[in-house]
Amino acid sequence: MNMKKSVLTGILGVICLLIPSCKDYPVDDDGRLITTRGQCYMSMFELLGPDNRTVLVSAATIDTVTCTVTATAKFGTNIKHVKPYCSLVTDAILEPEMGVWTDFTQPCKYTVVSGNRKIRKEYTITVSLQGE
Amino acid sequence: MKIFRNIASVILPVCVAFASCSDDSDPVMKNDFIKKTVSPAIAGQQLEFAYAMGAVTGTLGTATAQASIAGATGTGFGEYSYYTTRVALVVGETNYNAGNDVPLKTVSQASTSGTVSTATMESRIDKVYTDPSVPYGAGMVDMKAATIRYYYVVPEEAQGKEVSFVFSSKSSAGDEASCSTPAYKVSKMDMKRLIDMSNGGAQYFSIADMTAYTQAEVESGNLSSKIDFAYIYQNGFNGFTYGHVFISPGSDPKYFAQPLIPGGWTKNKTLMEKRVDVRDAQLKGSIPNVFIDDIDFETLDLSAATDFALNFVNDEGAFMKTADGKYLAYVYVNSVNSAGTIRVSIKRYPLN
Repeated sequence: MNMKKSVLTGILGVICLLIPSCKDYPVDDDGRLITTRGQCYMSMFELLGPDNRTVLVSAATIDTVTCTVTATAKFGTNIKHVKPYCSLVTDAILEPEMGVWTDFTQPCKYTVVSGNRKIRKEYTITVSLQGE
Repeated sequence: MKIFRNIASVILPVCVAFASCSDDSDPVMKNDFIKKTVSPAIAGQQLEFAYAMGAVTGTLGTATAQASIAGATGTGFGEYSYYTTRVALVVGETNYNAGNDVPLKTVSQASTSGTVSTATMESRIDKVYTDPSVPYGAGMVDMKAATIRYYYVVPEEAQGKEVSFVFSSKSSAGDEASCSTPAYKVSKMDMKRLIDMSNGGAQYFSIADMTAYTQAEVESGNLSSKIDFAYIYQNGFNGFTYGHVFISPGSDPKYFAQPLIPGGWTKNKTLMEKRVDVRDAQLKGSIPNVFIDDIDFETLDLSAATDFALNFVNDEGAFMKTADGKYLAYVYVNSVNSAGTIRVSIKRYPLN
C-alpha cells in the first residue's frame, strides 16, 4: 500500500513539473520565445579583431541608466573591421544583431528589447582608440 | 524428409565454403599504395608514397613508378623499407626504442629517368621483416613481399596542374601487377622557410623575391619598389604595446617607432591582417597538420585590412596582399627574439 502511494506521489510530482514547462509562450518572427520578463539591459560588451582575439585594453564600461557603452581599443587596432559581441539580461534580444564585421570609427547604436518585447532601450557604443 | 533437411544443412555450408575458396582469377602478384603526404603539393616539396607488393611465386624483381609530369631532382624510390621493432635495438650507431621504425635495405638499385623511376629489389631480406618475433639479424629469407617508399619532388612546371602516378611491379617469375593513383592537384603557391630578419639588419622584405634585404642592399640594387614590409622591434611605443612589427613602407608615420623608410623610397601599402592561430605545419616544420592551401587564398578578403600588424610572437602570422596586386601571402613567425630578430616563413600565392 505504501509502495503504491509513493508511485502515485511520484507520478503526480512529475506531472506538476511538466505543466509549467509545457506552457505555450508565443514566439517572434525569428522563432525566439516572447516571455514575461520585463528587464532590459546589456551586461557585457566585447570587441574581437580578425584574429578572433579581443582588441579592448580592458573591460568595456556599461552604464545601464544612460544606456551607453564605452571601450578603448588597443593601439594599432583597425576599428573599421571588428566584430562586436555582448551579453543581455535573460530573454532580451538585440537589434540589430552583433557578431558581424562592424565599423566603430563612429558610435554605433543597438537596441535592447526585453523578453516581453514591451521595453526597448537604445544603447550607444563608443569605441576610442588608444593613443588617439 | 528430416534426413534430407539434415543433409542439406551440412552440404550448404560446404558449398558456400568452396565457393569462397575458389578464386581462380586471383593474381599471382599483388600491389597497393598509400599516399603518406597529407600537406598541399608545393613546388620543391616532396610527396611520399608507400608502395607495397607481394609475389606468390619467385621473389620481388623490380618496382616502377611513372609520373604524369617528370619530378624535380630527388624524385625516385628510397632504398629502405621499415619494420616496427618490438625491442630496443642498436643498428650501426643508431639506437631504436621499442615501437620505432627500423630501416632495412630492400632496394639494391634505384634510378629515375624522365617520368619513370625504377627500383631493383634485393632478393633476400632480414627475417625480422616477415616475422617480428625473431631477433634482428637472425637470418635472411627470400623477399616475396615488401613496402618501399617513392618520393616525388614537385617540379615548378607542375604548379596549378594535376599529377598522377602509375605504380607497377614485377616478380622474378615474370608476374606483374600495377595500380594507378588518382590525380593530385599541385598548388599554385610558392614556399620559402626560415628567413631571418633583424632590427637594423635585413629588415626590408620583398614578397616577390621572398627575401629580406638590408637598407644598403635595397639602395644599391634599387629595390625599394619591391619592398612590401619592414620589420621593427621595439618593446613599447609612446607607452603602448608595440613589440615585433611588420609595417608597410606607405603606412601612417604614427605607427613607425623608428624612421626606417628613407625619403626617396617607394611607399608601398601592403594590406595585412594578423592571425594568431594559423600554424601552418609546412611553414612551422612540425605538427599540427594544419595547412594553408590555395583555397585559403582564393577566399581571402583583405579589403578592410590595415597596412601594418603589431606585436607578433612565436607561431603567429599575417595574411598580406602586395600593393601591385600580384601576390597574396601568409607570413608565419617561426620565432622572435627580444634582441630584435625574427625568423619568418612564407607561402605566396600568385594572383595573375
